[in-house]
Amino acid sequence: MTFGSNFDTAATVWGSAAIGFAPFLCFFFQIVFPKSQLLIISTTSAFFFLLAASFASLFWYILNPVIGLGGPWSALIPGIFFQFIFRAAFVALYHKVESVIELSFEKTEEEQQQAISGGDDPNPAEHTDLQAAKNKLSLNDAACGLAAGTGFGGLHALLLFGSLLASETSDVGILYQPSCPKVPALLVSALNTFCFFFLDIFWMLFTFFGMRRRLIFPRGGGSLADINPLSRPFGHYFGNTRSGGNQALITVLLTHAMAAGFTTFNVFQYGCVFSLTTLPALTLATAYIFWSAVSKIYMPLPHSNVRLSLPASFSYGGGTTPTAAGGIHPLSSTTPERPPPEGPDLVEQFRNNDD
Amino acid sequence: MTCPDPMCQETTPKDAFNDSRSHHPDDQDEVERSPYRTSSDQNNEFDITDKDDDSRKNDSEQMDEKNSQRQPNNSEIMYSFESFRAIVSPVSITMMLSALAVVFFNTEETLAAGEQAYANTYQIVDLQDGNNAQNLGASLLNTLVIISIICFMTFVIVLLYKYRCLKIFYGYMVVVTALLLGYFTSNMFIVAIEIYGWKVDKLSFAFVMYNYAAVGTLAIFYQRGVPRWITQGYLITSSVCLAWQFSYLNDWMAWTLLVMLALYDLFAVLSPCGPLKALAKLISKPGAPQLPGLLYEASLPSGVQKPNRKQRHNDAPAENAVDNNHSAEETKQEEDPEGPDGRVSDSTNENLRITTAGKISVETKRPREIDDKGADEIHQLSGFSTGHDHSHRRNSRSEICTDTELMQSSRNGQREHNVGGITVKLPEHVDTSNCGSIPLALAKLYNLNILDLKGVLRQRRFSNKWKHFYSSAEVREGSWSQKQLRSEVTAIFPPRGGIISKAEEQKYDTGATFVVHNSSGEEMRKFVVTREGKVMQVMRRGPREERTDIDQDELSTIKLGIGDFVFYSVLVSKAAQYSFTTFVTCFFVVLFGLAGTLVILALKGKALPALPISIGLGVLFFLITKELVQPWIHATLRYNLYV
Repeated sequence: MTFGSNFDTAATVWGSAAIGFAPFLCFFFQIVFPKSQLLIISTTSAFFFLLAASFASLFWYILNPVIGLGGPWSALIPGIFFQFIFRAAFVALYHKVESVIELSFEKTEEEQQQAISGGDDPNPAEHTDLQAAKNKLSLNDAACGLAAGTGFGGLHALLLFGSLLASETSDVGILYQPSCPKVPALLVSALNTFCFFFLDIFWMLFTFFGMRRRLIFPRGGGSLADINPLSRPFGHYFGNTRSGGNQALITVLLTHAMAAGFTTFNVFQYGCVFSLTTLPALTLATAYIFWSAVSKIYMPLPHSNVRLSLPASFSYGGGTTPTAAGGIHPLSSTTPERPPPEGPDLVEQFRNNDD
Repeated sequence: MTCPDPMCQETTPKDAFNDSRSHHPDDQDEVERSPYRTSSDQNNEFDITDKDDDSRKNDSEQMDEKNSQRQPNNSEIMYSFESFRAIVSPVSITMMLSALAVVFFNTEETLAAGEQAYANTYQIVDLQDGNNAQNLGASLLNTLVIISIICFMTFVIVLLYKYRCLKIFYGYMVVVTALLLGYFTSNMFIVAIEIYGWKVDKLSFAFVMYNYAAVGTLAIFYQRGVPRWITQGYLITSSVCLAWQFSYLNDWMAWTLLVMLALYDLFAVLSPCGPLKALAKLISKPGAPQLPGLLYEASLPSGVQKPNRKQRHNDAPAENAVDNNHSAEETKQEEDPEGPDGRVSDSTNENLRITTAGKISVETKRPREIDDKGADEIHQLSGFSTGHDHSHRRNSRSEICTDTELMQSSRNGQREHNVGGITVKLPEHVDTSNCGSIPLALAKLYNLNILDLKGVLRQRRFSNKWKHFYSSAEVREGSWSQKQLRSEVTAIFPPRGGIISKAEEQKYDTGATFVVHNSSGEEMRKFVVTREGKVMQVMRRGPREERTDIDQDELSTIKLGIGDFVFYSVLVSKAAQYSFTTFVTCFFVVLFGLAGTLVILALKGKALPALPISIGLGVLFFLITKELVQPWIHATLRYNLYV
């Protein structure tokens, strides 16, 4: 019956849309939209996804229609690579903007200090205004990582799933594919979108973590043992080091490749049985990796924008204050003679590069 | 496009004088920011001399350089962030509604019919199928004609505004808006009714649309008693309707028109002879009336206001929102606050103007009243005394005038006076019978001749010889430091006229208070000369709550031109006509362009129009998405892949 068919189509469309876009809408309106700075971050990260998609499509165009290297991986590999590159580029841009904003705050504070010391403080209210502005701005890697992931993943969902949804909306009837004869193609795509959105969030958080550690810590130093995650407690597996940051970035690349690879099961008949099980499992695994590897050390120290000349193997541990990290000598590049004063739960033993 | 902000450069007498009309003191308790007089009466009252163009250009260039190197402060950053957040919602809603209207309120037949109708109206050179190069050339020519007409109309608006033929302008805008809301919106709904078969009778439809248009016109132009969200809603719907109309343009015409409009916007805002720049100058003058129907006003969250005047150079978060219809009113005021005589006026002139806009019939009277009083005051200052010898006048004459010994020697039309052992040469026409000690800033304000007996104005620091007498022209045109402006000099008042004396009660922390008395000794006005050498008038004010609400309301809003809404929507609608992918791409790119411009403005301090950036990126990414991204997405979705 036409009515039933129309109703089924509408139910499939709306239901799939709800599954596919609900996480994005929830994150966006609950977390991102109330804060103006997060809104700008989210919008900019969405633009960076668009740049990634543009470059990926250009390479695909060269590979597939021009050279003739067809197949699903010709579309997937450029997509994975350029999304990774542009995530990192976005975070690098964020660090630059962050430094400019911090400079402006420092300058305002200096001016106020001079005014106070000179006895000429025409506007004491500016002190509270400065603090209020700082509180309002509240730029930190967690919030900004979430917002950036929301923007990146949101446009990701809109472009890939939204295009399919829009094309299916106008048609009467439900599309099924050989890879999943029992499940509408819209629903399969919606479930893929759902998983990929959360993966985008984690990937962006990992990228923030990795790029921040690459910014803080210099090159060189360390040992192979640093790579062993089990040498650290739960929540610190990657380590608060440059190599830990690199590990986080590699995790992004690997898990993205795996996630995209799992969707290639849909090329085969009944392939959705594997794709619809492995993809959610990978999402959970990525969440677990985040939780176990970086969750306790995610936030950088307050002096995170200061380039510390320390060996790469030096680790702050789980504290978020300099005192909790114990015995940090920011400008010293030599081995400190005294050991870190804090307990072993929070602070790793400092290792001499010469050992 | 940047303009020197007097607050951010060494205060010169001119700047101080120009700022004196509208400077905001630190102490906001009673000293109000208000223009001392309107621009139209300035020349009559105070005989202000303009800055010459060269010095203005030099100042402007120096300020541009300073601004480009300046770090943004926290208030500017927060203001730009919050401005974006405030404006993104209405822009997004307008773009989405326009896309929905264009896609769902049209069929192939209506599109074909509309395209034909618009081609007959707007295309001088017809486009031909299949010949891209020729179509491009024809589109460029046709859009050039359209842009020329837009430019001409903008100049007409500028002339109407400049010569205050505002009744013509308002009448035209009311008619156009009523037609847009009534006739063109009805057209759109008629098409929708035909497509979807809605059951609506003609009488009800006419009744509803008539009321819709009437209420909309009242909401946009009258505004009193109308909640702001209704006005905003009507502005959005009028933009949607316009975008729906423009969707009937041929693809070549539409995209070419968008690009040409972006380039025109650059010219109109940034070039010295641009009509929008001229309109901005006019609107930035104190007491200048608003342009209703052209600006969308969005509220900022509480606690966020325009940055401090001391920190605000070419602060223009809304600077970007410039369009053909002259959007971003406060942007233009901030970026180019030149007064009518070419003076650099303080940007708070526009604050006052914005403040006065809320109650046009009440607030705008105040400058006129002040002007009338000011005019009377000048006459009284120079008029005959009624014989009432006020004690202030007697005291204010002080020992300077009474100690003067008139020497009979006259050289080159000058008389020599011996004042406290100092020989002062004065022109013969100068009568020192009525003088007093006031700050230089006040003497400049009232165009008074002065005697510098203490040497506060001397150029050479260690020189024992300095100039004593300064004519009013020299005082007016001189370049004075803050210290000099607030230093007291002996001002020569008109004989048998009014005087200015120091107030007995000094109750403002901002600076010293002086009182202006007429020849009868009556107190006319009260001024405060701040530490920065600026002159502020103490105004009698209404209820604190009322004024606070007005000030707060006007400070915590941001305005965006309707033209921006329309052309963003046109871009997104044309993209939506092609595919959903291009619609999403252009939607986000427009928002990114807007965000990027606001952030760049905060970081770089350079004024930029936003329309070119968003439109340029939108057109570019439409082409990229259409040719590359969409095929790539189709390739991945073909096998339900995801990457």
